[in-house]
Amino acid sequence: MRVDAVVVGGGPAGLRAATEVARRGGDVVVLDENPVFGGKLLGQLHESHAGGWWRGWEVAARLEAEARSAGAVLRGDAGVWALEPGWRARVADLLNRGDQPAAYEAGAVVVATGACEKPVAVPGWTLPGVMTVGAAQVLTNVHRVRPGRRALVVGIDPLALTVARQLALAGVEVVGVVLPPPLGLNADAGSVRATLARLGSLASLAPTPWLRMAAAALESGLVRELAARVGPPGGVRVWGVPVHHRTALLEVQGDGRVERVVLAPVGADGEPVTSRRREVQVDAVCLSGGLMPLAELPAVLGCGFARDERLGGDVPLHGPDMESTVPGLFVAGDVTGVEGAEVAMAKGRLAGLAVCRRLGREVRDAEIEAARRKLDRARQEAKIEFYPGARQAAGAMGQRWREVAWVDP
Amino acid sequence: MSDGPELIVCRCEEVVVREVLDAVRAGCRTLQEVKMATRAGMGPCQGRVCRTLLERLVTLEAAPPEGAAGLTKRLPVHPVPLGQLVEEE
Amino acid sequence: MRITDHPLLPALSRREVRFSFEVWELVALEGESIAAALLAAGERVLRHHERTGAPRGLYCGIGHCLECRVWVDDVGTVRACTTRVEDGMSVRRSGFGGRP
Repeated sequence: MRVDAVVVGGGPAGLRAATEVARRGGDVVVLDENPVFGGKLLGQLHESHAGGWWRGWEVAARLEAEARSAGAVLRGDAGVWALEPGWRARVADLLNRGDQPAAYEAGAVVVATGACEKPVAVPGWTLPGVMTVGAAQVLTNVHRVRPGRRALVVGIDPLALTVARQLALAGVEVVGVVLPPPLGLNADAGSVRATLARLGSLASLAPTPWLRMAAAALESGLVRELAARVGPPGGVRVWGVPVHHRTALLEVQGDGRVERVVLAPVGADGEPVTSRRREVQVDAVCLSGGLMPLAELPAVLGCGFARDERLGGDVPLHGPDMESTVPGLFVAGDVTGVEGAEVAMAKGRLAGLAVCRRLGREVRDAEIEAARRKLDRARQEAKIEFYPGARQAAGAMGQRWREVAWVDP
Repeated sequence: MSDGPELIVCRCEEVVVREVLDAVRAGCRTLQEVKMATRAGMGPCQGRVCRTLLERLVTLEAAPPEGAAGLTKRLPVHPVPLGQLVEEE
Repeated sequence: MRITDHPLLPALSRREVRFSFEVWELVALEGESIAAALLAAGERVLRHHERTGAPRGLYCGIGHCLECRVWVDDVGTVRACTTRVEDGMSVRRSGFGGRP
């Protein structure tokens, strides 16, 4: 089927991009593997800095309504398994119904496939009941099913802390938030020092003045050293959930499913004191290893990539208008760097405008400029950087694209 | 239970740390080579979950694996229901 | 395991749908994923590893890791985390000892 543009991924970036294209009369289809639209927004529930709660599903509903009323076609249960330059998107009908196009031809494509979680390896992690914090968030907030009665959250980072709180709100007994096993395999997620450094950057988000001061203090290397050596035995309560920055998970155990976990204190050097291991009964373990862009389609197409841990890992290079190094392929949202929903929406809008221009529709320079400014503003206003330094990293990415784009036109 | 060297790295194929390290010690330096030697990354998820872990293991044991995209990404990008896969023209 | 009383999430009114899992007849709520419906019924094991037979369940929840693949009659293999339960669905575990 022939359209003007295909958008892969129906999250905040994809929906915004499609809305821009549709508003200017473009024929655009949004394809998502899920039966519903909104991507990760659907499960998001956290306190916003201004006070009040961010309810992701409400934002998603608004974005979806805007896209539909602009005239975009939204198709769910559809997995884009290939993209061919020129362009053709091949679509798997995940429910095997046989009543939808197997391919779309388009003049431009926007890949807005978001991010996925990095794994945390721990003995016993394949037991039923061990899942990522993302999975726990979806089960709890979207499907309204508790991942378990008693849960351990593993990994101390913004997402883990948010999900721990969501679980507690949903009536799950969260026994604590601890570090992953400090194996090289888990990079610095299991490192006391690295975790404290990460937490230091979250100072502005801390829910109480005491924690704000404590988090701000962590920006000092000296204080981090101290904190690495001491910690209240009951953990620091964040939103009612005990966070133990000096306790690590050693193993998950159970007969065919999660039944208990083995924990141990870790020294400042990061080594677990196995002689002081203890067992805790739980029926769910929620792992958090951080987020990374899910950029398989750009990779297969030979897009230029650059690695920047501040954006989550390997990021498809993109220019100031969100075009990748492959002409006609645009990227938007967390796939271009993990920066959150509001930045994703601004990226989507910019990509949508750029697609319109690419399709030969009139887009004034002033409109593109305004969209770029909105993106800058969204970045500045983002209260939370998932990884410290994401803003600078995004700037560096633009520079790399310019270098590559000149060399390989 | 699995521990240390018997820790599962590739969930799909149940490839453990020991097997990956053996492959690196035998000379594997890219994720493709590790995949060919151990099956890690060959399962249904095609390395989506384990790629990060494999990279870290190879880096810790020898050096950062060569090649920007790590495991070669192939089409289809994810499994396609029976009967829907179309040969590329 | 179902959350019926949440301080912030709005109540959803969903009608019941009936489906079967292995030999059991279960009730789910319209719109929920197969994985969620099974978890609500107390069932975490969705699959057995094809070589070792080890029990597996939901891991990533976003259709990415393919751990949660189950067999649905007349449809085929689907990801339990992203596929909605529908009235009359017949679901089985996949893997070792089950369907491919």
